[in-house]
Amino acid sequence: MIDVLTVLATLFGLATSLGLGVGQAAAGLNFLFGTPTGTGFQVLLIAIITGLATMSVVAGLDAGVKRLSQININLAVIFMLFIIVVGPTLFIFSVFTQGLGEYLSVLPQLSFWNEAFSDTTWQQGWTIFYWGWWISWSPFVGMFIARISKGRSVRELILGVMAFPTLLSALWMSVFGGTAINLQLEGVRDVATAVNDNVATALFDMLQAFPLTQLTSLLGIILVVSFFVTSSDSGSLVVDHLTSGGKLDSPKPQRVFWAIMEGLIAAVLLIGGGLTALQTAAITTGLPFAVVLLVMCGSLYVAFHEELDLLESHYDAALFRSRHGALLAHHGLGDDGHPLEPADTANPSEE
Amino acid sequence: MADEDLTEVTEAYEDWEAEERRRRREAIYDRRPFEGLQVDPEIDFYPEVADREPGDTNMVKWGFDIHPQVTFWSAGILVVFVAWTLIFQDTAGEVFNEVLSFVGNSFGWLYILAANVFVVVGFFFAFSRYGKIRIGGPEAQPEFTTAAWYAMLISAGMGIGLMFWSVAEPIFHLAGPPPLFGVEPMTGDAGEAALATTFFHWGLHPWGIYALVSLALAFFAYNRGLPLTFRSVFYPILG
Repeated sequence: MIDVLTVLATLFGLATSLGLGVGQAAAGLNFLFGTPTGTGFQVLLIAIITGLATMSVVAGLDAGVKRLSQININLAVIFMLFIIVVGPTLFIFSVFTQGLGEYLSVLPQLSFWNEAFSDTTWQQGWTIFYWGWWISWSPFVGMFIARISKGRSVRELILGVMAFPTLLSALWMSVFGGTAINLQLEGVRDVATAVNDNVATALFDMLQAFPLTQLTSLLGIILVVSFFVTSSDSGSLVVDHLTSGGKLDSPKPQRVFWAIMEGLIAAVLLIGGGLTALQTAAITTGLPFAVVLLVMCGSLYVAFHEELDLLESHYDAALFRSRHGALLAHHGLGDDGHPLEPADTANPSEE
Repeated sequence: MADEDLTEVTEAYEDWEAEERRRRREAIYDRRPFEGLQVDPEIDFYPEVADREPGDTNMVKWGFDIHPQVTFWSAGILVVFVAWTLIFQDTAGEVFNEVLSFVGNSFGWLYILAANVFVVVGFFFAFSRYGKIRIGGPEAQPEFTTAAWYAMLISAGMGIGLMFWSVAEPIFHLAGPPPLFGVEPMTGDAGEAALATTFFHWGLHPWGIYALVSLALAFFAYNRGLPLTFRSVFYPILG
């Protein structure tokens, strides 16, 4: 039952992102080549992206996701450096620093704030949508991260997933968002009107304020598509893994089937209800998972406790020996930390 | 302790560290390329689970190899959902809107509270004595370089969203800052609030949720030999 829920959450989560990504790619292509941005064209784009994702799924994890991820990150870093150089460089760094400070200082209040005493509905469209979205993505992102995290300690995994990506997100947002805010407030370019008009054009509208617009917009579109293919690929691996009952290698037609299903759902949701349909699907499937994850915390605590008891009785002595054996021997101590030959000291007469 | 003794001990310790680094490099280099997500269990913590082969109740037909319950339920629900959206195109939008505001109004607090719980629990596990537990047992070595690991987790987790929202979200907040901040739209203050709010939506909370879920799944798969699925996470409390 819970696996069914995971499969559904993964497919809906991916479909939401595919819907957003396609809207953005269509906006970029429209800006570059004057192609239409209507639903029909977007469905065509979904078909193309799904085709690419299917190829990557068939290639498997090493040839597909791993290589794509590295290409993505390299391209994204180049993109970011370009904006830092041509954009308001000093402003970006100063807004990154100040924004981080504001984030940390307002975090306790902001993260528990629930509009309890006001009749505003700001939060529903933002924080609650995001939390639902992240939670509905968490089964598949989590399963994927789990698969690649063997051999890392709990501390390494948690800090690696929480601290570094958080800082990187903040830097990325400062570079792109900060630049856009700067353009807006300085009156250089009215990004806000364009964003209000069609949110998908935001990035491309901002790029027009800088040199080499054609080239950077193309890079933007490539990044949107390749990031999506990577997500979709890891999602298909997860869905495939669950629907084959955990077989080591499931048949290729099955992977292809699920990759195509993703595209189909995104297309239907786009035709049927647009962004609201996608938001609803994401938030609603996230809800049961929020409860599942809360129970999971308890379960994990119980299991960790058990693991530490095990470690203390079985493994710790061996580990301690391999790390500190040399030091101990030097002090004339055995592996257990006690003097090496207690018999000798007890009976000196035998010498 | 005499100086030469100290040197000897330091050398022994450095040798051990070099050995550890070599083992880590070798583990990454020797990794068997894998196609699917399945973890090959190296431990049988629960004998009754270890005796079962994954997918032993599968149906194999027409080039498919499927777990019947999971596949048919998921596919069934999807088909119904997709068909319903297509047939009732006009009313579907309204229904979606109603469901959305119902969930948001009634369970918004649950989302907000739960997300905070995940962040706190994540930090607790990282900084308490549980932090030293290693995924795959004390002797386990990573299968990917740290750079490749980061590249994959960021790409899979957020890449597409970072592309879509990086300009749009701060600008939306600039024009309509969250009421909590009480600042005027389109001012420098609103700019600061906009970035802080964007950091908030893309910061510790989402990554905390991912960290906790991946930690639980990895732990039960590698340290307990259970299949890599959500079912396994509840094994210790539900059996």
